[in-house]
Amino acid sequence: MKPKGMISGVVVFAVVALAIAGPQSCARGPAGTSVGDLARERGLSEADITAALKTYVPTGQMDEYVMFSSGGHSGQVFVIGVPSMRLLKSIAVFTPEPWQGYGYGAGGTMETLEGGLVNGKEVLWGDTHHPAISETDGDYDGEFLFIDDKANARVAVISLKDFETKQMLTNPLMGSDHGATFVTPNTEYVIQSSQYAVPLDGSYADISEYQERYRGAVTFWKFDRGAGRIDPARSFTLELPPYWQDLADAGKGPSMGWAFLGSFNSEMATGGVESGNVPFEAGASANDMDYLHVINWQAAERIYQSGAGVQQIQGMSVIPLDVSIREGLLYLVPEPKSPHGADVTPDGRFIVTAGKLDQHASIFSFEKIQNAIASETFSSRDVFGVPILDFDAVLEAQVLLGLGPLHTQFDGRGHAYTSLFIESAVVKWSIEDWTVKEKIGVHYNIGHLAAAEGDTRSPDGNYLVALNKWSIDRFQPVGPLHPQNFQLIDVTVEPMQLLYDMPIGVGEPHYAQIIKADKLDPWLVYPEVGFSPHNMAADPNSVASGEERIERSGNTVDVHMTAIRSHFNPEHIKVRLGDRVRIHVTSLESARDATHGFAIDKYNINVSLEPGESEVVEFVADRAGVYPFYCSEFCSALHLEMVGYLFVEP
Amino acid sequence: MSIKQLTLSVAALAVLGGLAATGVPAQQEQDEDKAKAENWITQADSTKALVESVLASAVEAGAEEHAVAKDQVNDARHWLGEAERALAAAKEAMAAEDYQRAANMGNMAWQYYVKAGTAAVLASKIATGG
Repeated sequence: MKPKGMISGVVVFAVVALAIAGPQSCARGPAGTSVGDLARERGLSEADITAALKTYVPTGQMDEYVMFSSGGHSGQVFVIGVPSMRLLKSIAVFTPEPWQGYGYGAGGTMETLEGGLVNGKEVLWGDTHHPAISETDGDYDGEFLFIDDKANARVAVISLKDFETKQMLTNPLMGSDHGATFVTPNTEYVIQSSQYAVPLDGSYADISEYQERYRGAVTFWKFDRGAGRIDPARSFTLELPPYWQDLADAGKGPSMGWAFLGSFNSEMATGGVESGNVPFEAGASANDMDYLHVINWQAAERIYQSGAGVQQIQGMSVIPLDVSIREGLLYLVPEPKSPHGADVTPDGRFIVTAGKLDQHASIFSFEKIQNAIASETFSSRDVFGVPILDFDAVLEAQVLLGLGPLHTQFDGRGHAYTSLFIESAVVKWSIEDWTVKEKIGVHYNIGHLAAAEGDTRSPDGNYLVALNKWSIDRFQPVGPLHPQNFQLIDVTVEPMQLLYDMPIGVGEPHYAQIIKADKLDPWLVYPEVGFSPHNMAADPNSVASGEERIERSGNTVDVHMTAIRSHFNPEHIKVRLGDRVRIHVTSLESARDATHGFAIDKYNINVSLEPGESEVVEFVADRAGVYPFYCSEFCSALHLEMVGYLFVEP
Repeated sequence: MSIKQLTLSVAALAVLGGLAATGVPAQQEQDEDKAKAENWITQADSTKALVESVLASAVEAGAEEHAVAKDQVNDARHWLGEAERALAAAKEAMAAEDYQRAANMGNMAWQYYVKAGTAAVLASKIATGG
């Protein structure tokens, strides 16, 4: 269902003609109202009608694409159908989510959340920024999804088999991140780079020691596809200057093995407006140029594996800055000005950067970068000794795009699309002759944008979603906190056509990726009854029908329970005050969508039991009394009867 | 002024703002500070004129009478006021040969003008349905 060809041009023409022609010549809809009447009554234009036809997906039919969007402060990931823009799911990641039973007693989810402890403490929110779908040979493969939490420098792994979070890791070297998550072309590594510099060892350092003690970092988290987990023991980090590293991208094709990070605050401004110092917003944007970081991650991997000069800092393997300089792992390229995006073209030959306060995109040639490195065509070195490649020697082109260019995506037809924050627009331009083609206004203050597979080796383009920060007047007012506005744009037509506004009333999403729906192959039920989603394998503690029982060992009570429409077995659980209670509960269901919940009143427990799922719930019975437990999903006609009692004897 | 013209004007704002990729020549520190200060003040002055013209265009397009756009007009004026104060402080510091302060205040003035310009663009877009 591409925008073109979804419905034949003849049909589109006919419907539009009907809309314009009036009731006499119009076909009648099911309620006896013609298309023309509806269009007139609702004040819809021809463009409105074509937009509706391009986005409407009738009941029972599926979208052509699926978009994974960061959920911003919600700490979640949103799954949205494209072009319908229907919200399909909100995947719980950094924040507990009761419907999915995430963080309310289910053992696997509690273990996942435990991986995200920050300095040993629970931090139950996240500022998700950049989702990254796993890739094979530079194209989305639809197997895994990664997402970061800027606020706490965490990364998470989501399986796209069951759309559930499997792992969460906190990077102890970073205060916050921004260049995360991005993957290398075969998902060898998940890239996470810091944003605001801090001492890497976690110690205190006065701001006056900024240049000496504060540092940036980029971590290459090793992904073990077989295990479906990041392996911290095979991951490494490069120490970076205390500029504020920004977005990242991995090279591909000819630039395979390299990574590129934008940065700002090359001034190393330290703020302190309250003391009469220059505020960050001016101090960190004073220079005409900041630095694109060019990193040879494959060479860094070899250094890490050799162990030469590698330091252990807070349990992480860190390649110090001087080693990176000596071994040629890190170079800087001047980039104007307060840059944000760093996006590699589909063929891997160019890196597109855009400065928030510059109206150009600056396009750097990877081949020229390699030549400059080989010939040591350096304009200078920074104060840390990192070579700065000569700007003119590595620049391929600069394209005048407009005000506030941020991020760039691509289609498969030789075009780039860049968001223009200040102009509230998307500009389409050619990556073949570096010329601007057209602009479309968006509403308002666009941040990221996502084209269908638009950051891969073979983009589809077709649809583009503008992730607008402000909606101002687009939606029914709901108080001072406005929804964000995702605007769907058809980029197959000229001029580009705005199709649909989707309010996002949860969190403040940043980036999104759009994958062809047929690349996803999720389970509809778990592969077998008694399956552990956390371990992605049969659960040895699962409970088969007929094996339900309650066992006591000292003050530990193990309850082996099954759930099926419409009862739990056992229904009576008797324990004593102070007992440790472990309820192993298995859903015996194998029918699609036959999900149960397991909620214990007043014990803050709610588990989602999807068909075949096995979970364990562990708690201390610390309050005597009678506590009903029940199925919290409306599972069947006798759903309300799916209940039991927990008796806690004093 | 049409949205297209407006967009061109806003683009010109940046061009005149001297944001193109240029480096600062290496000179004596004092001369560098003075050059930076002059550069920021020039950018701020140029940007001021263009932002004011963008805002005037928005007002001409009916933004002040528009229930939603008028908020953006007010926001733009607020930032213009901030920018005026910062620019005046920059020029005062320049006269006193305090070039670092002049550069910093000129930079801040320019940042405020960018905010004012952003609001003015929004005002125009909302008022004209662009």
